[in-house]
Amino acid sequence: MGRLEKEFQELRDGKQGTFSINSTIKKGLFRSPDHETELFLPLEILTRLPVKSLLRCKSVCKLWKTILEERFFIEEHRNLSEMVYEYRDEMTNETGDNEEVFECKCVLDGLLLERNNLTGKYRIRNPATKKILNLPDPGEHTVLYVQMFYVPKTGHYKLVNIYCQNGTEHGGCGVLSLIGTDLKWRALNIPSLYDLGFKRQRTFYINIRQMFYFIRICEAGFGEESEIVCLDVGSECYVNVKIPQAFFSGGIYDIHAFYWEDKLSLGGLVEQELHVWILEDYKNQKWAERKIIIPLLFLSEYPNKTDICPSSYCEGYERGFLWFISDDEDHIAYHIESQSVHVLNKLPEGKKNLYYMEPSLVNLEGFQPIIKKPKKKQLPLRFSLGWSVISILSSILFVFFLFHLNVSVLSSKS
Amino acid sequence: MASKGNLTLKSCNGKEFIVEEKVAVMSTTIKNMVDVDDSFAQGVIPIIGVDGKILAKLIEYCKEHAEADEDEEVKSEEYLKKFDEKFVDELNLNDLYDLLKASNYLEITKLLNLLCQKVASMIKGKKPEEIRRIFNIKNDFTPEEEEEINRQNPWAF
Repeated sequence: MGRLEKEFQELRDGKQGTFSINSTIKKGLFRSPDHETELFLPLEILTRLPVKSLLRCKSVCKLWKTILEERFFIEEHRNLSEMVYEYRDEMTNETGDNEEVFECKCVLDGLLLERNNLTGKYRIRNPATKKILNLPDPGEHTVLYVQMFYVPKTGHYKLVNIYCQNGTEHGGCGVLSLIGTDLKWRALNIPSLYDLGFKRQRTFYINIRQMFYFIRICEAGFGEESEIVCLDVGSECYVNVKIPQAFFSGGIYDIHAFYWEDKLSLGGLVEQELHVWILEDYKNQKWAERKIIIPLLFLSEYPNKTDICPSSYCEGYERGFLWFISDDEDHIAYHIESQSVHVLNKLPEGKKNLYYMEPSLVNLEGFQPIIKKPKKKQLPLRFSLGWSVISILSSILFVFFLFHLNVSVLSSKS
Repeated sequence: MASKGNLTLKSCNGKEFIVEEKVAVMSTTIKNMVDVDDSFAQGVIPIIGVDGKILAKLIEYCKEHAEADEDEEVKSEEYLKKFDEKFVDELNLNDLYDLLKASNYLEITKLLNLLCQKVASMIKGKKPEEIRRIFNIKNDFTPEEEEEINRQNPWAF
């Protein structure tokens, strides 16, 4: 817990404490509000400002700068920020900021993990504060998956990748801690990843907070040997969890991973129902005893069931909503109790989603401001065309002139 | 002594206001007090640190919103929006600050949100020196420190 968060918590606790003791209220336990306004008000007000304003606010005074750099504030602010959607034109691949070279691999806390498709190098970018951090090369192998995590205990970000050695099926797992300035990838020894045997496997992953779940479904033997590598990115401990064969009754291709109240679950669509198995306790390889079956009548609108994929079920603010992502990248929220369907983020026609995120102030050690190179000024086409026409015409005239001169000289000789 | 259903609020400079309970309990702080102890409902509730002028403003705001919550037809959402706009526009900076402190302390969430939004809109788009001037904040950075912060985010300035 950061210093600010602690103080803030104490203020809140203190306030509630006032009302828990009946006798003291009568004595008029009305503290002067000044003590808490000094901290509380800037917090309340600053969370409502866009990132650009906040970057300026950093140089107002030391108290504001401290508030703005506190993780607690940054998270509060991000939660209140409006989601930003970045699209790409499907036909021309054109983006607003001419960065089509970079492919976004992961979005976390307003940070984008991007790969430069020309050089193969990775970087982290905060589009709101316009800063980048170039990352070291992951080594001489092909990266299959790379994801970013936040570890609250240390207050740092970590990257995890799954790779295979070029041209082989030998795989491994790498970790990069974003601590200090000398960044280096380290190999994590996970023996079950030595053989990635692609041809016989379907692999995918899901991140839930600081857990990385790498799911490998073995196509041979109808799901036998299928397992999940559960990696706690914070402690770097891992557990292999077997996937019971009963899960594959709908076939090995219909199974998806999604999160269910902070836990990993596997599930698939069977007719117009969603069947869900929850991994209750990965450390003890314990799956929920019974699967959950949720009827989804709205699925009749999606005749091809591969068009839609369950992404999450979250309890809390969006209590009781089941989220799906359709093939058109629509986000579909289904309220289980009322059976109502809400379609969000309908993409503009002909556009492809690049990423969506809440702008944030998150800063990384070694972040550099993006310096945009001024574009070379090109002469307007009409002007350069006109210029070339003039130069061609004048050279023709000159040749004519010479020829004429020559002819007249010759004729005078004769 | 206030009649049943009414509460008496007393400002720090001794001014008393008799308000309907439904208006007063827009403040979570007052609501908690009344819920915990009946004797407040009959007696006078001292609002320490809030003077008569500010308390009158708070009551004006709470009255409009309490009535709107009760009967949506008489006071529509649009009416409230206009009322809110006018309410914050008429405040000078001192009153705004005092109201912010008071609504935070009395936990009148709706008003606190409205006022915070107003202050945020006063900060948005302004340069640091303008913000300091408006809010009377002392610049406690050395020129070198300030330059270093500005250098990190050149595009924002």
